Amino acid sequence: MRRTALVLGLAMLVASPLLAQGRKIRVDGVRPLAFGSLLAGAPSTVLRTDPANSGQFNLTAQNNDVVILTFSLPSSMSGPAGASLPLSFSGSDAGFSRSQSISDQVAFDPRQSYLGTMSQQGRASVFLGGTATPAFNQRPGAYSATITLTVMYP
Amino acid sequence: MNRAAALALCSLLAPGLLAAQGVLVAPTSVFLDSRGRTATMLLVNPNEDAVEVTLSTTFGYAITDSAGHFQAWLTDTPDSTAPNAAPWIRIFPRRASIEPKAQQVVRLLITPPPELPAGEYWARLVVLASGGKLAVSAPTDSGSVTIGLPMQVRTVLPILYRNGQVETGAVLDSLRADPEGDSLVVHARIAHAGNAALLATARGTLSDSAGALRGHFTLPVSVYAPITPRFTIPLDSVPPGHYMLRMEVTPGRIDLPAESLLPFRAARDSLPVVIP
Repeated sequence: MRRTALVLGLAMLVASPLLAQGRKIRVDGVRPLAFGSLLAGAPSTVLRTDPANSGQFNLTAQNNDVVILTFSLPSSMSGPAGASLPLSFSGSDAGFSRSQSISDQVAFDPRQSYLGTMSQQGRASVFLGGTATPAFNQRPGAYSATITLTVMYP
Repeated sequence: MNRAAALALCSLLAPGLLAAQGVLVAPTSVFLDSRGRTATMLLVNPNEDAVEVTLSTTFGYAITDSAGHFQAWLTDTPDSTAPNAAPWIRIFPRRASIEPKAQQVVRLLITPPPELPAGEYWARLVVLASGGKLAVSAPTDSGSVTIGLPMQVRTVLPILYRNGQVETGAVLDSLRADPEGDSLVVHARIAHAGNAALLATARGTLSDSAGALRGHFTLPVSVYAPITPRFTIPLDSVPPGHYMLRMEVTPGRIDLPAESLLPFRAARDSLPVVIP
């Protein structure tokens, strides 16, 4: 135990110079995937090119860094008294943009992994659309589900 | 409002909370060996809200599917023969709440079992960052529904532990290429030799009969198990004709420190290609 503490203490002393040399990555959730007013029984689709309602993550790393992007997507949202509201994603509901422009995306299937290469400035954005399908008799209340983006260095 | 015909569903989200999810992680790869069994990482919260961070280890690496697309393969229960270092790694701390504009130093300590055979052992550090719980507003009337879709970010970084004598090598075979639309799609099998992963750069060039370069690709590759990646060379400005495709897997990575890379002899292959 004492040896572990000593090792950790030494590691702390050399931390700063090591970190100064290290490469970094930052991933920010910029905007949530948002569905506007919906009609019961009528599916509502948000396009990945929708500047107000599509989900957006910004990635900041080093120039030309390569990362594998994988979404964990819920198939439904949980609501009151066990009710659920279906959520679905199609094969072109995600987009990758090295220029971080919503109008300059390469589409990919959010149900599969995608290999993304950062720009020369070390930046990129990921956009996400989807479809919510409320039932005719959808129970009123709050519905929620979590979308996770995994960013993996190979 | 006619609830039977039109039930208003509103997604009331709080974008400001999502901005708090961003966390900066450095470095992006961790190399350990029997002489240096500790590493230090830095997590920085550059935002205006606190961020909750959970750290863990797992096992996994990049693989390719049948179409050659890269996938993240992660598992907490790998085969017993896998060179899994995840159980040997301790993280201090495993959870943290990082205040706005603050940073958190994280230390990794590896304690491998005694009599461990020489070789490279792998793990993945998982950094899960979440902002505050998304506030879901109460329904504005009896017929409304609120939808909350909070997003969280998982950053997964490689940890490589080298014990004793380690070596790697490049295997490149099964090179093939097929024109698809306005691109030349190249497939090749890449594997590693020795007892360590192959951290390399894959390059391909397409040359015409006069030797002029007409297209190319470059990609850093990490090979822990054989992969068959898919590369593309744009053919927009390449006229029909006979060409030579050359591919190589060479030492060196733009994204990794040179002192962390193991030397190996480059592997090369080539293939005549006809663009119709």
